Amino acid sequence: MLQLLTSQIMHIVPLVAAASIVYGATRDERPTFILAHIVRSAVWMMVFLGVITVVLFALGLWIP
Amino acid sequence: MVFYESPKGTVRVELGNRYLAAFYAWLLPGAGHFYQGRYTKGLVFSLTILTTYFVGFWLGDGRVVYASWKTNDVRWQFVVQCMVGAPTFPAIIQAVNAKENVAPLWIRNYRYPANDGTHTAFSRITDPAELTRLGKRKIPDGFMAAPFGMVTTTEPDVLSAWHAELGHNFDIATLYTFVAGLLNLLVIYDALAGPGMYFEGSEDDDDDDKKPDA
Repeated sequence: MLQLLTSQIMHIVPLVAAASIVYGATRDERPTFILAHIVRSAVWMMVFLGVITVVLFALGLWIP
Repeated sequence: MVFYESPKGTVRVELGNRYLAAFYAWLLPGAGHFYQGRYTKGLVFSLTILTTYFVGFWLGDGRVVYASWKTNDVRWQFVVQCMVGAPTFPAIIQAVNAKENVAPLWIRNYRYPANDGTHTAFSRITDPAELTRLGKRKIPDGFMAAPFGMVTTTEPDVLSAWHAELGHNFDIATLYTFVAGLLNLLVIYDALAGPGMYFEGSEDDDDDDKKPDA
């Protein structure tokens, strides 16, 4: 687990944060709605990337 | 001015001269929103995009943002990176300079040539005496300049030396600066046309939810 947390894959976290903030802020003009968009975008991106990571990890185990 | 109307309320967005705002937004992330008086969003965009860009710049030791259309080194990523605006201008200046076959400006360090025989080709020169010994044979690394000399796929060159020194950080840094450019495209559009707001149910009830220009 520690290896995962310190691995290159963690470089994606600041990128997801930045993308969520900018995308969320371009969706509305009202702070509360912007915050909701930021959270929704961040969750959506992390789930999407997480699924891809799990699929690639599983393929990596399967492929010799 | 753009205003958005829905049963939940009205949002008015003053865009001013939207084309000028879009230009400012490109020139410096967030500047277009400051011009429009949208200070909070301007600050958020400015901090987020510039932080992403400069973290990438730092991870890549300032070498990942450069303009080059040389054989084997077509830096297509720069087209997106330059959407961050002014912070990428030195790379454009270096590219114009390189086109005139002039040595790069703002030299950061020098490297050994390929055929020196005493040191690894293209490794960094750290000994000042070596600079004198090599004379004009030493290879310059300019700030935000493309790798000096030819780039090949079979022989060592300056670009391969950069990759060897930076490891995976070269790619991560390229990604960070690239994403910063992509995000500023969204910001430019937001300055040009206002936020991409929509209201749930607007497709079924056009009279209640509309986005007119005024």
